[in-house]
Amino acid sequence: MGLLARYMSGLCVAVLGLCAAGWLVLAPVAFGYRGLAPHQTALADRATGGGLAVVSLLTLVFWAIAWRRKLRADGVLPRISRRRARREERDVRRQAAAGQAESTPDPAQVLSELRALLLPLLAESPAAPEPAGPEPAAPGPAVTAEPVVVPELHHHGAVPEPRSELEPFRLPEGAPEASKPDDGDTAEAAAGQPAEPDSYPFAAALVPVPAVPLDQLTPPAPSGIAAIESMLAGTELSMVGCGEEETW
Amino acid sequence: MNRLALGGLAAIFAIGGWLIAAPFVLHFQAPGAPWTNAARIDIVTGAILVLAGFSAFFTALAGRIRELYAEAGPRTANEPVPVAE
Repeated sequence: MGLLARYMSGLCVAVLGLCAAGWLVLAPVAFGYRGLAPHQTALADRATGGGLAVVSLLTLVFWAIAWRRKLRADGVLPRISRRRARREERDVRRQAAAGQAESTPDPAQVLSELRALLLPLLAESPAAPEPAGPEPAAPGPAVTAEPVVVPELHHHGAVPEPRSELEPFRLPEGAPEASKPDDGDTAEAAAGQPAEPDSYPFAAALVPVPAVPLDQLTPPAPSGIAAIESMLAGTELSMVGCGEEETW
Repeated sequence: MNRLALGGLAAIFAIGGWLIAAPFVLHFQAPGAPWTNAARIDIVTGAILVLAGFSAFFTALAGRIRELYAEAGPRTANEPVPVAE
């Protein structure tokens, strides 16, 4: 109601001003002014009436435009005026008649054209996986005649399957039997060699070492727990979530 | 556009005031003499325009202020209210 009263009051007062202007213009003629200066009085009324008519007309137009804008902003009236919609519709019709209307391409047609363009490329790829030389490509019609079957790629052949269960540990083939982890003295005593005295630590450096071929200088194979530790050395096992993921 | 429309209403109000004052400003109504038809018509017409223009101007202004409050309501509703300590 407030919105209606606002615009309606403006429009009503503008209309009232138009009526008053008409009355002021016609009053000198209708009543035949008499008095001190009838001519001056009639002139003042007509001038005032003319000015009031112009002001009232402008006010009426302004209020009408403001109300229409408000109605468009509120969604009561359509966003595009009827005249503009008619003009746009006429333009579209004219463009369609001239064949210049932009139409969306048919997806099926686009796909068929793409297939026709890609068929020669797909035919060349399985026949010549490696470009051997400046051999010219096969002519087009002979290639496009047969359907091309793209070989399915299997990448999982080179990737080991994930291990979700613990497998029993087995020593690699040819590995020596596991021995007790012990220090060097005990191992040497078990091998029957006397331990070197601690007071003479550089005696081994003074003993002449027999010449050994270079290809025989391989590190000794680990054994027992050392073998396991060597296998696990440098790896990190982390359990994520419920313990089904292994990261190495 | 709203300002122009309000200005039109103010102009109508001013023209009404001019119509009330015109007989005395232009001296076609002698002071103390009985009122002529022209003076009576001008004063009555001017009074109507003054009343209509005044009421319409402030009605429109009140409506505009109400619109501003309505537009500012959703914006200020989301802002936190400062608490005085």
